[in-house]
Amino acid sequence: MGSGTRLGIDVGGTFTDIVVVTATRATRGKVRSTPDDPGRAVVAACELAAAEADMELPALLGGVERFGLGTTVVTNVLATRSGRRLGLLTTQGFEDLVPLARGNRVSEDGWLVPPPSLVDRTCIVGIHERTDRDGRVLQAVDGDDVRAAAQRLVAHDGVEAIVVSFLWSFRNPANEDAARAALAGTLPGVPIVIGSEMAPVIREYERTQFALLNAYVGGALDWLTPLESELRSRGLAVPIVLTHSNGGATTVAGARAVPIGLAQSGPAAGAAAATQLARAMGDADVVTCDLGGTSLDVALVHGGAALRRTRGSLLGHWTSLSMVDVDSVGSGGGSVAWVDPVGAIRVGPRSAGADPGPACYGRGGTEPTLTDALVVLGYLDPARFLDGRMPLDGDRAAAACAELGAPLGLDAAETAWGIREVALATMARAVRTRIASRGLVASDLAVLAFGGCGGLFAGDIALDAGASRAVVPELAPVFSAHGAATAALRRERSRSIATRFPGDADALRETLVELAKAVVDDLGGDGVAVADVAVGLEADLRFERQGSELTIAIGVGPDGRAVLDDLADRFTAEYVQRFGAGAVAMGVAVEVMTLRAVGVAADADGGSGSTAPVDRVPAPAPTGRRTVRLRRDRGVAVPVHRRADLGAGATFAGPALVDAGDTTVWVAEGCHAHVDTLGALVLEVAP
Amino acid sequence: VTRIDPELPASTPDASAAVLDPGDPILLEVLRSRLQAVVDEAALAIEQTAVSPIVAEGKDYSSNVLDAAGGLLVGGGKVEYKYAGARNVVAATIARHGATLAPGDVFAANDPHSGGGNHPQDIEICQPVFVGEGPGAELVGWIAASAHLIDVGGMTFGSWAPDATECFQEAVRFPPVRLFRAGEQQTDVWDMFLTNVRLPRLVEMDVRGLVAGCHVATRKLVGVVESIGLDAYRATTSALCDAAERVLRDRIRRIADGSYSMDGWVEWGDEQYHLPCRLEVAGDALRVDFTGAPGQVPHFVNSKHFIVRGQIVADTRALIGQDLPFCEGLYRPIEVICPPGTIVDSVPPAPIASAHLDVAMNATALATQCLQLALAATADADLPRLPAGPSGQAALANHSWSYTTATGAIDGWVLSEAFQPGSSAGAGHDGSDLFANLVGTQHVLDFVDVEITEAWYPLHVLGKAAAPGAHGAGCHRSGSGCRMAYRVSGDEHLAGAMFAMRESLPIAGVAGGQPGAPTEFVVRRADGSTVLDAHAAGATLAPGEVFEFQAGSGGGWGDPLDREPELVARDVRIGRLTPEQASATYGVVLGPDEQSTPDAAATAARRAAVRADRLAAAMPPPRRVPVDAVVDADVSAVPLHHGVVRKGRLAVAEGTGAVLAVAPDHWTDGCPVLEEERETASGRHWLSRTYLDPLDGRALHVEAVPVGAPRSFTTAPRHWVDA
Repeated sequence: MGSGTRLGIDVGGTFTDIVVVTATRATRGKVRSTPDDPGRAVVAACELAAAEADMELPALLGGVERFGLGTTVVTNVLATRSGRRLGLLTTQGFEDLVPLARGNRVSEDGWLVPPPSLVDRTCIVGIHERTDRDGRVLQAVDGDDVRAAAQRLVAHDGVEAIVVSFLWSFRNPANEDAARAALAGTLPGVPIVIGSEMAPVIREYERTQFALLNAYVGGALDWLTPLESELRSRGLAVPIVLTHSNGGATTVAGARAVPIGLAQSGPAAGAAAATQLARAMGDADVVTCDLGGTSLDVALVHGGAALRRTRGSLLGHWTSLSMVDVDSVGSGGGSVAWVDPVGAIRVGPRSAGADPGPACYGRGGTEPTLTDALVVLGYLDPARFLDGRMPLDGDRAAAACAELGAPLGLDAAETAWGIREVALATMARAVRTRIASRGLVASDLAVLAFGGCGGLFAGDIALDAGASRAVVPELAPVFSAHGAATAALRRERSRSIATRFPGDADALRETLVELAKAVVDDLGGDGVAVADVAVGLEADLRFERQGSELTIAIGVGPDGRAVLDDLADRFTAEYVQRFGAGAVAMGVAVEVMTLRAVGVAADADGGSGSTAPVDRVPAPAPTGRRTVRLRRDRGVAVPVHRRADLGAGATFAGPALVDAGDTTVWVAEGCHAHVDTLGALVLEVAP
Repeated sequence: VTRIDPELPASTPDASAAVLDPGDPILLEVLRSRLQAVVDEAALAIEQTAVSPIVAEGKDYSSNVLDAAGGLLVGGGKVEYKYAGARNVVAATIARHGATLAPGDVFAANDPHSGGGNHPQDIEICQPVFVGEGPGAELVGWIAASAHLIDVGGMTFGSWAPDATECFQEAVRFPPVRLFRAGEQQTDVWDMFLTNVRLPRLVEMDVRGLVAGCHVATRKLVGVVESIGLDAYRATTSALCDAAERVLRDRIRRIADGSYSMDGWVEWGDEQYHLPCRLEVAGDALRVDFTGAPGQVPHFVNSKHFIVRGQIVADTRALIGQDLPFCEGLYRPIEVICPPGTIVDSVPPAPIASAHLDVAMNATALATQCLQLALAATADADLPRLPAGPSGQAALANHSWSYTTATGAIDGWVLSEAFQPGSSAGAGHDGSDLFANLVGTQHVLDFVDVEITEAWYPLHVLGKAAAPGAHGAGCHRSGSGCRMAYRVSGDEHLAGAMFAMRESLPIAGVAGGQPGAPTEFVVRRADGSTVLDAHAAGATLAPGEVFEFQAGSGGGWGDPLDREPELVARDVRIGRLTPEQASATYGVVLGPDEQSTPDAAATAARRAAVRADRLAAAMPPPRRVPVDAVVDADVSAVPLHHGVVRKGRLAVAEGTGAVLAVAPDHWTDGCPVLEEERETASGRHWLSRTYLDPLDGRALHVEAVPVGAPRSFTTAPRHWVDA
């Protein structure tokens, strides 16, 4: 597509990152976030970027072809439990189901308790109503009941939003519609959220949770509308697009209508950038490792798209939501090391966070973290952390490690070595499990690492998990912002079917046509011309009564009709790939649970081209050496390269470190590294 | 053929350096983490390939890695009780086939009498893991996986046959047999098995899911062993088990030595089989002794030693070792004595379909209660412990219904989530609703959504909730079991079997908490309601009729009169308690403003009155404390029971200072005793017996026993007996 400027922003809890990509260069910047009004930091970041480019803000914004924004604001509302106080009207006789959380229990200091409920049990009221599985209304709603219950919840319990969610409403929403009609105008200022409208899917728990989540975080994105106005007044000519949890982009209006869609915006933006890079690498399959301060987030890009899931947990709240399938383990730079009762070193999931942070931050933290271990071992240069803007205290790091190791008979360095080994084992386990859960073969995959610490573990994770290479993109530290700049506008519509396949094939085709039309219309509403929309069709299939489904793409024949004939066979083939031929019993019926249309605007290629063969040239001489504790019992002097010195094609062998100012890349022994034409550092770990 | 996974090259050669101590704190965790990854990957494969709701949605399966001798190294999946089956099947397979094992062999067993798992419905699949090729291949360990199959044949759909008097009637039975021989499918065996079960396709897919899980795990385990080297692997796994054993022994050593006992009763209709349990704490070992258990019975409640022990180890870990890896080392300090031929260790032809339920769950609850008695008599503040009452699993409300479809096939269900009881309360914690355990790692069952249940089966659910009522009352109350009702919505005539527990005698509370709720089954027909026995066979349900049940619950913790009034008011607000129950059981009087606030003054008065009424209604203490038994002010207090301390040779109520007994008499001897006869929905009678503080009427301990039974528990720590 065009050669205009793409601007990506990632609004995090602490920092707001900006990336500006033009045809010739990429610049990046970072400002402190402003949680009371996140838009202020966005404007400040734009001003910073303009200053860097030596431009006036209107000139920069006026040239922007794409303004993408990812944000953790919605996630933070969940994490801090600071959402709205909710009331729930549900089918009488089933009031306990939400707090019971489908039997899920979490351990709190060893006690098993339900995960926190989005709505207190005292604010759940049963309504005398019922629809059966065929969508017949057995008991109609009495509007007076609904009004009385809602008014009491608002007046007596102080609820700030009301959710209405009844059994089988996805099949026939008449009773929910009637409840909404009864409430219309009676509770000014109290949002009413309807289950079947937010997610018309089977499984009442997930559907109700989805409505509750949206009601709970409602309002968290209200700042987007004034922000958009302000940026337009300062020269922005294109709408803001936001990174949805599904890895696509959505508009301000779309995000505000279904705010929980942005709950995984950050990880999804990383996956979007990874998808783009994977395409540039020739449709490579990659496993992404976003290694930050508190966790490692792992996702897969397969066949040119980030793999998604249709149900999952958002910070402990299970729901139905199309999202990039991200596994998170508590193993990041700030993860705290400890010794368990059997005398083994463990790392995480508890994190020292940003405050006090690792011991080496010198802010009062005394427990050793993974970052402290990396300092002690020599992977990180304490004097040059974040370009020297935040020097680290190596002595405190060593003292913390020494204290942990003393009872085990280990000195500081050996303890640090152990902390890194254990953290690496945890990371590799997460990556392996992720790959296995989709039945993929590790040796076909590249590990794509980003986030603050990603470069230090990319190669070792690849080696341990059995991947052939690791890739550390140039924009690794601000990869999510980069993803926000490049994610394509994407809309999807789905419908629960829950019948044996093929059943009435014509009816299925008709449904697909309706869904496809709807996403084209949705994207039209987002300003995308029909000609620029690519629509993909999918079905979620399973063997009869299985607990989970596989999503299978549906082809379109030359006659423009959906091809359903081969669907069951392709489902079986995918099933065999994941679980092995021995897992398939013959003659079991296949069920189609959901049909889906996905519309993607055809501007997905972030304009960055693709990798091309490059002449390998020896890298310039290293700028120094650092002693790194590679062996358990001794250090090795390792050459250190400056990232800025390494042009496309620069090639060198490990062991080596590459300092990029805000991040460091570790190239292990036996590993060959080169810079590709897109500026990514590629580590080839297998011979 | 031994499969060597090309994905897993040696990656951390430094970690495997032979000079390392096998208990090395780094290698220990690196290896543990990798083994966990092996079982996690196997669990993923099982969960995603199995089809029956009890496995796919109910998560009733497990996967394990064992060492070459069959010692447990690590477990995956949600049901820890199944780990005992993994140990059993591998031991039996080694005994039968040890001489002929080959790479690629896959075994299956289901008969608990001859190498199977927790009951015949749990199929156990195991696979020996070899490293190396050809004749030099070495056995390095075992993978074992297990899942509950929806049917394994026999007289009744679901293979729970209350009418069966012998194991031969219950199920198709097999000891470890090969499903695959050196990688080749043994079709004859599959055919023989699948011919004998209902829903053979469903069963086959579940079994293949387990096989897939074993294959995945075998491949990955080989990779792990090769990456660190065989010797280091063996040394480190053994060090892991040794370390877990050492820590558990250290903790047991902190528990007050002595003898603690508890009586239980296993129910079958109007029969109550007396099951005595005695825990001996001696140094760093526990001995749980069921000597005196009745002989095996012609009903499916009989259990096996390996099942009872496995459950006791799991629940002991939940109380004092939750932070320890669940491995062979935890079994070693815990001896369990189950005399052969009795209900706790039956032999053929004893029927055994509920071998992990009635007897085993009750035996486990008794052992837990004994351990709680011991912990209550233990002063050591450094002992990590979770004071929770016994698992509510001894009050499960299992049942199954089946029918013939229009095409002549058999379909049916065991709503695995619906039979969930409420858990007992713990110190400082209310029990959990529809969830049997308050501690441990038993995240057993994911509920199936009502819409899924209704989509699959000809039923219409009228309600599903945490059962209301004042059961399990206490300063911290129990959770509630599932209360659910559904109507047959199609033309089908259903045949049902109940296989539940606790219809006659609820689970007792702890520390003065009251007993929980009993289990109840009712069929509502046009001509009236019928109560079904907890082990009813041949129940029927016709179109339009309603089936209603309530799972029981564990007991409360502490005297209900000590419960925070605000919490009682909240339970009234959500419909769990009536205002009358709040007043009668909790002594809480609510103010006039729509039930939401307790009236503090009226509540205080009401509570005082209830305590006075208790003392007035109580029988005098069994043994009068001598007048010269006066507490020496200089003597320090040592815990003896919840709310009771030992001062020198005297047992003293902590709250009032009342002297209760002189050593070695039992501390309850000086307590006024309040006996109240109670009746269950099915018209069965039981006795609630409360031991009171003689001065203020506070409940120190409440028993639930058959009418006429003597005191059901004994606390005899060495420090008291020898005082």
